[in-house]
Amino acid sequence: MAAAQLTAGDIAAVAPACVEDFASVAIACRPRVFRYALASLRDRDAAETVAQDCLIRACRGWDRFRRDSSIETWVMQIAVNLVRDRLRNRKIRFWKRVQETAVPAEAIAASFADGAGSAESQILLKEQVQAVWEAAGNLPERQRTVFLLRFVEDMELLEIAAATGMKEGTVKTHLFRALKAVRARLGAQA
Amino acid sequence: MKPHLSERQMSEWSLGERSPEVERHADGCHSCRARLIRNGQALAAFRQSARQWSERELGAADVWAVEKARPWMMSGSLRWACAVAAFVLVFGGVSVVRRNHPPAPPDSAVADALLLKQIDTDVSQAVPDSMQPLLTLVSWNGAQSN
Repeated sequence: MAAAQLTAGDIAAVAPACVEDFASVAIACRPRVFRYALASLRDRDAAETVAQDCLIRACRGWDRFRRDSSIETWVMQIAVNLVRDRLRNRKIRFWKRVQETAVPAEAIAASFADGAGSAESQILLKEQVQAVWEAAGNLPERQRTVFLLRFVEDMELLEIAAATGMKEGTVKTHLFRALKAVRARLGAQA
Repeated sequence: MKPHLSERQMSEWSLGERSPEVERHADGCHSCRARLIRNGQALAAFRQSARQWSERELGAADVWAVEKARPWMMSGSLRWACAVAAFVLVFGGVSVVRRNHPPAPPDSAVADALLLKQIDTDVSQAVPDSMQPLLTLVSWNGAQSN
């Protein structure tokens, strides 16, 4: 699926005084949005599309941003919604395509490089990374979302709550369940 | 013997919520301590792997976007389509131009045409040149008499 393009009209919709602000936000947020989408969808093209769509929506909604959260959290909220929509959109059978094109956990773990430790510890660490990726891939959608926001993006519980629209307690509950599943997978691997 | 850490306590530890009670237990319980360390290492390595992968793919995506923006970097089928279109434009254009502007006749054809015109003029004359003024006079007079 082709990504939407940011047009001159979109840029013009941003108040002139805010164009520079938006540009700096877009530059700062794009890697984070892309990383979250990539970890969620495990598909580079899909992640790129989400990242681009996310910035377009942020650009178009710039005037409506109420600043009751940080800009980064607001952009991540858009990204979370886009990823969720993609996973749920069965009309275009995106999920099926994602499952077919998703990079397997083994491949992600194999490309992981950690300079420290012996060869044996490197192998052990890669096995652990693979186990976490596998566990994350099998989590229910909400658990996976909060897990990735926490353990990939280092977001605080309140930020995750703002980005996902959940209450802080709900976020914590989902995280506990996700961590339990991850520990179970690590225990099985050990 | 103290019971091992619960799943909840393990999760709280992973989220950075480390109560003195759990820390005391971890200090004295080799099994729980090993689990906590292994979980922490695995999650840190997972974070690192996600970031490495993203940086790699983001770089590739940017390269792909730049190549896509280059007009001369076309796919094979697009190149072929452009070649065919150029061929049609060039040769189709030539035939159209020929149809609208017929080729100029050669010099010999021009000379032949002039000669033919002169012959036509000569043949169409009813009387020789020497009698031409008389014929004009007669015709003129006849017309006058009418």
